[in-house]
Amino acid sequence: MPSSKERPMKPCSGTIFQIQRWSIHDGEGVRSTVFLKGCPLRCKWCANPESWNGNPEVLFFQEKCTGCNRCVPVCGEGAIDPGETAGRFSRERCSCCARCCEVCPTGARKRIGAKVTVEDVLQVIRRDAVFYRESGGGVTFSGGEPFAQPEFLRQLAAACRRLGIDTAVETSGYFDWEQVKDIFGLLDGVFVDIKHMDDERHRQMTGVGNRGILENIARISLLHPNTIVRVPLIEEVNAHEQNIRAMGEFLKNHTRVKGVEFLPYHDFGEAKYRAVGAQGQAFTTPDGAKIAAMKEIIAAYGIDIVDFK
Amino acid sequence: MSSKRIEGFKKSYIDAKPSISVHRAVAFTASHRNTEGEAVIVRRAKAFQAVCESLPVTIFDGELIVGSAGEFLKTGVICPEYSWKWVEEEMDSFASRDQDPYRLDEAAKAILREKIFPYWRGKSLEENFLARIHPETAKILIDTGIIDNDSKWRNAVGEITADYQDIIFRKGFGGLKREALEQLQSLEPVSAEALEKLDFYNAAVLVCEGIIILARRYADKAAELARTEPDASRKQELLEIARICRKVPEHPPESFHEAVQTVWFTQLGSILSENSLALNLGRFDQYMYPYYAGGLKAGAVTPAAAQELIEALWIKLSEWVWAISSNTAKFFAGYNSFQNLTVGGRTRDGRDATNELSYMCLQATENVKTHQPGLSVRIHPDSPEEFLLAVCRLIRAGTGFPAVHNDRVGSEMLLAEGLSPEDARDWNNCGCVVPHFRKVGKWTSAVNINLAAALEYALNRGESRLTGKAMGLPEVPAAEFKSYEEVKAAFFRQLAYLIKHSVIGSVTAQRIHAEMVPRPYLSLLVDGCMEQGKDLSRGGAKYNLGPVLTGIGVADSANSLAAIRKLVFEDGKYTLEQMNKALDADWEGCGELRQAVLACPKYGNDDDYADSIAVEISDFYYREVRSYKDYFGSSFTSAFMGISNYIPAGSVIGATPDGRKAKTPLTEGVSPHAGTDLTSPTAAMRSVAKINHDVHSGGTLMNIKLAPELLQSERSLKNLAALIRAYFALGAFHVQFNVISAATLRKAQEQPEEYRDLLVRVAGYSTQFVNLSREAQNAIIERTTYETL
Repeated sequence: MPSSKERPMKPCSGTIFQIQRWSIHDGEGVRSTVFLKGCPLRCKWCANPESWNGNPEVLFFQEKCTGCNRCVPVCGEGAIDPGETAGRFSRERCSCCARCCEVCPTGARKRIGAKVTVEDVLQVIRRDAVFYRESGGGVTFSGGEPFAQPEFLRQLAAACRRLGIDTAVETSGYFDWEQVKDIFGLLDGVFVDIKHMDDERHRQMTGVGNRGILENIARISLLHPNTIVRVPLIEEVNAHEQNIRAMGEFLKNHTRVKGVEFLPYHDFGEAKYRAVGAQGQAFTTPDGAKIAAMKEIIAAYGIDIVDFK
Repeated sequence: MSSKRIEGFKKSYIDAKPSISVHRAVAFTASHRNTEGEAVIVRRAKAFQAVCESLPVTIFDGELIVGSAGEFLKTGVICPEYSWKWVEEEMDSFASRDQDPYRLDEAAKAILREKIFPYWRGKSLEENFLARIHPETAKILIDTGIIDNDSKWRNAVGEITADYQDIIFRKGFGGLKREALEQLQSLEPVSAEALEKLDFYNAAVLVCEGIIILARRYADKAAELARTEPDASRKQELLEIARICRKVPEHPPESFHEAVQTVWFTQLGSILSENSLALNLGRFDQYMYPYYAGGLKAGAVTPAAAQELIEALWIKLSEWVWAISSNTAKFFAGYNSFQNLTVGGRTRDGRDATNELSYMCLQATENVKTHQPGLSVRIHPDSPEEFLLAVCRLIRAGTGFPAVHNDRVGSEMLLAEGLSPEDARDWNNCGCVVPHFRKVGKWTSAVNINLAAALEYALNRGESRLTGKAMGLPEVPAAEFKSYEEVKAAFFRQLAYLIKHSVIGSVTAQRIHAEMVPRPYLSLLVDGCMEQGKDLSRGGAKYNLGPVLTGIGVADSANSLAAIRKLVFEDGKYTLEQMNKALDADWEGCGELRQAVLACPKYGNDDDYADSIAVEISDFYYREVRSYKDYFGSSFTSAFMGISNYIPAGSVIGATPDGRKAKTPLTEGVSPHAGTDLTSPTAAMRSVAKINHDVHSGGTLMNIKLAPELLQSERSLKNLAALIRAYFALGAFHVQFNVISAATLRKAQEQPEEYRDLLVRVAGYSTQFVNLSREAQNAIIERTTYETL
């Protein structure tokens, strides 16, 4: 592991969209998961499309809107059309002042994300310190892509280390290695995704190629003894033998990952996609037999299957 | 998995309908007719003996542990000496009532009408209490749901823990009788004290003889059945039962089987003596262990045989049902008799006390799934992880058991009450969540106090919002309050008023109990009474501790004050007048204000804004309660525990400023209000742990509902164990889990026949879901389920 260089810690802030306490499926023990906002990928199955945009934003749940028009006069940007409820919201004009969210009686308008300081985050995660201690848990930084806010992440991880709180990160692996490699010295565990082994298919489904990601996985795993690869398992995308074999080959020959965790795809609903003004796409969850078969393939390469259910 | 025998018992148990037996009432009353003019304690002892001589003796097929409160598999007993009017008024609707119905046949009703009620007219505890209670107190105490102590004047007290360790297993009732006779030899009636002692010891001899007679009648019955029993092995069992019943409880038990039978006869005597709640089994794993370990070593018992006997006892404890009025049944729903049994914890000298029986008791509850005994565990930092995981496995099984207690906080509570360090380490649970000790005399559930009523009177000029009646102290109209501090002061003023009248209700009841309903049988089971020749009801126990006043609705009051503080006095968005109008309208047409109050900080989310108010309320409550002394000079004790009291307490309260609708349930114990603790279980636990649990030595109660999906893996069980340990590290006292999905509960509502054994946690206890009223069922479904986290 690289030793963390002592950097001067200037007060730093970042954008997050949630801190989930009692998170029990993202690493050991009872954890708090900090979701950083902003992601360079656009995975078509993403369960949190509100994590894409790196800034706070107003979500609009059209199906909850009753057309009461209370939001119209409070909007200083003229971003809300008093006519139709459908498509009435101009995101380009929105300054995210969130006054519309305060007056909305049905929760159709919801501000997501906030710019917060490291200390703000620490105030929340410190609260469950006794639960981390008793359970061997800690804090997980997730997203979005946490490494997209490297200084914020660095300072958060360093602060947790000072507080004696275990840290883990969930990353897409899509980042500039040189810019962030010191941060791995501050983390106790790494979860990194492999979405697809084929560069072109990866680009189609996530918006970016996989070469840099795979290189980063190799680098992380050689440095960090506690690296786990996570695979969102999706029938139409990656749950087939050829892809999983390629993954096994890669992991066996180029990495020292501790294990692989399969996360079968779950449809968390269209509503959030529409609320951020995006198109959702439905996928299929592989059946139990398929998942078992995929696990067997990986296990055959001598790689452990892990899970945090 | 239970033995085939126990599976059979379980099935017939589930199929049996609760029925009222009048034999106890008939014998008890007939005896009283013949003893007019004698000392009341002697009369009651003679009546007890008469019951033991005449009660039908029933041994059900295949039973190993014998003894029944009546002729039915599920027997309820009537005790007219405490109250009978409700029986007269309600008996025709017993079978059809919503909560806890009973069967009672017409012949029995005729006996009650002709032979029982006429005798007790004017003589019952209830009638005396109602005649003597202060009229101003009566206005808010009698069947109002505002302050409620009807279980202390319509019923006997219960709330004791039989001392097997130092009394029953050592001496037997034969030994106790000899002690009483020895005392009588040296006593002459030359002083008031000596007169009282003479009566006490005379009564002691009579009740010892009574329980021994009852056991011998069972011995005779078993021998009689053995004579005609065709099956050779059952015949052998019956002969063994006959032998045991001739020996115990007269003599100390020597085998595990004898010890279990002793426990049940002792318990049955308690039930027959006063038919009361919270006749606790205490630290069963501790006092039974010598018989288990010794029996294993000698080859006299096997683990399987011991397990079967434990499960047989569990079923016995569930067979008798507490016969209560429909009003009381609202507070104590589900035929619950609160016979609490505690396992785990520490020894008197502070070592871990967990043993094989601790695990076997958990297993028994998982196997038989009966609602009795109320199983409690004590967990301390050195409790084996294996034990805590076994506890978590039972939690996962969804029985609502066990209640998990912080061992050290229980000891701290009793140390503060003046127990010696050794005795304080030796605590057991009483009823639902009250830390108790077998040498203690204490009313552990004296009065329920409705905190939301204090808030209502503060905001509504001292009047009930639902009836318009003046109930509290007069107040100015709410619109005249100039600051949050003034609102809060009014709330505390009203709360202090309710506490004062609760004290009046308690000491009045204590006085009448001491005069009218001494407890000659139970006094033998609690250390101190025999030595002093003084009845339990007159302060005879080694430790006499003050009655427990239970506050209901901490969360509701805290959330309401938080909303007023924020919306009216900080944000200035609404006036108190607007708030009051919305409450009068039960939020009809006030959707916007209701949204605003619902969005205010709520207790249970680790948000100090609301939590600090809950702490302030609970600390005030403690100081106020503690400032009064009871009939024996002991300080009253505060508690935030629940029976199912939060449902009826809510039904008499109008809408509250936290957004709650009129008549809907309040909140049990120190739990967050249903559906408002949305952050996480850790946040809810942190909020609850901010309350100073150690001072509320009447117990604090916290319920959490978890979806079963969260507890499937071994890993998740470990996380649950860690959650409990962390919660206890924060200083909280108790937590209990309901692990049943809302979907399952809704199915059980639709198809009750399919879910007859589904146990759920109501508040301080678990009971069969299908035995709860629709209202109580809905309240349970609404409790927050952390399944989406």
